[in-house]
Amino acid sequence: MEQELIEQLLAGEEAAFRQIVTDYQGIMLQLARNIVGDAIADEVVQEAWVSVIKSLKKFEGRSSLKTWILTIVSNCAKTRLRKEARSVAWGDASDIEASAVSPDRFNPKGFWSNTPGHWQSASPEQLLASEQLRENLDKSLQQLPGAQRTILQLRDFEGLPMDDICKILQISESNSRVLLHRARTKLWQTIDELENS
Amino acid sequence: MLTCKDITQKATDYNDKHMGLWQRMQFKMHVLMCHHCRRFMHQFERTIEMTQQLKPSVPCSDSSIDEQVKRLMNINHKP
Repeated sequence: MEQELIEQLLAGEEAAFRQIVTDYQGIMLQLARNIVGDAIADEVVQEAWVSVIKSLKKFEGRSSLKTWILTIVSNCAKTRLRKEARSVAWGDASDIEASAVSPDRFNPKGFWSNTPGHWQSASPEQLLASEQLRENLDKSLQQLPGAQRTILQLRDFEGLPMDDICKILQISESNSRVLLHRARTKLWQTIDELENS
Repeated sequence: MLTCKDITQKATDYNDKHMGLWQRMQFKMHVLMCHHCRRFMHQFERTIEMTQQLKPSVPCSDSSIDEQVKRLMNINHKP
């Protein structure tokens, strides 16, 4: 299926170009924003598209097309940061340490002292029906450190396997798991606070 | 014996089945015995399911897609 799409792209078929832009432009821009910030994310995405089109003949199918394209975006973004002498640290200590379940909620032996409260809404659909909850979740997402937000988006929004995420972001699997866990925990805390307020 | 704090720290590994058999059994034993952690795990799993239903916040308009398609087709035609 993907091979067919690539052949159509190489043959210059407009429908194929429309398909990859529709499928990937949003997530490419999101990834670029997370790495380089809003101001130059568009430029990074355009650079990445040029690379994608020029390298399409060399695509060997060792990963999915999506993973391959996002790896190119990540590389373009990090190259851009290096050129501008900005830090390319991903998944460093500050990213990893932030947003665990607060230690205050446990006693010295590690058992709950401030236990999780009861949530009024049982299902994800019921929870998402609350506008205030959606707003708070959006805010929490935006406040996550960049690496945590990116991994959460790639894993839970896009459903990519962890191996692919590690390739895209060039970070170790153990770090990426910790970052994903911290991000999910922060969102759990956001809901917990709202449901028990 | 795992503590409640351990459960909150290993919840993603358990959910993603990234745990050895022994660790998994220890985890399950604790959750079976501790209703606070059972509640935590239930809520944590709901949080993941809900996140999966949230849509990315970068919408692309039809006109921006048209523009991008033209740009890419031009790049493709260049030698």
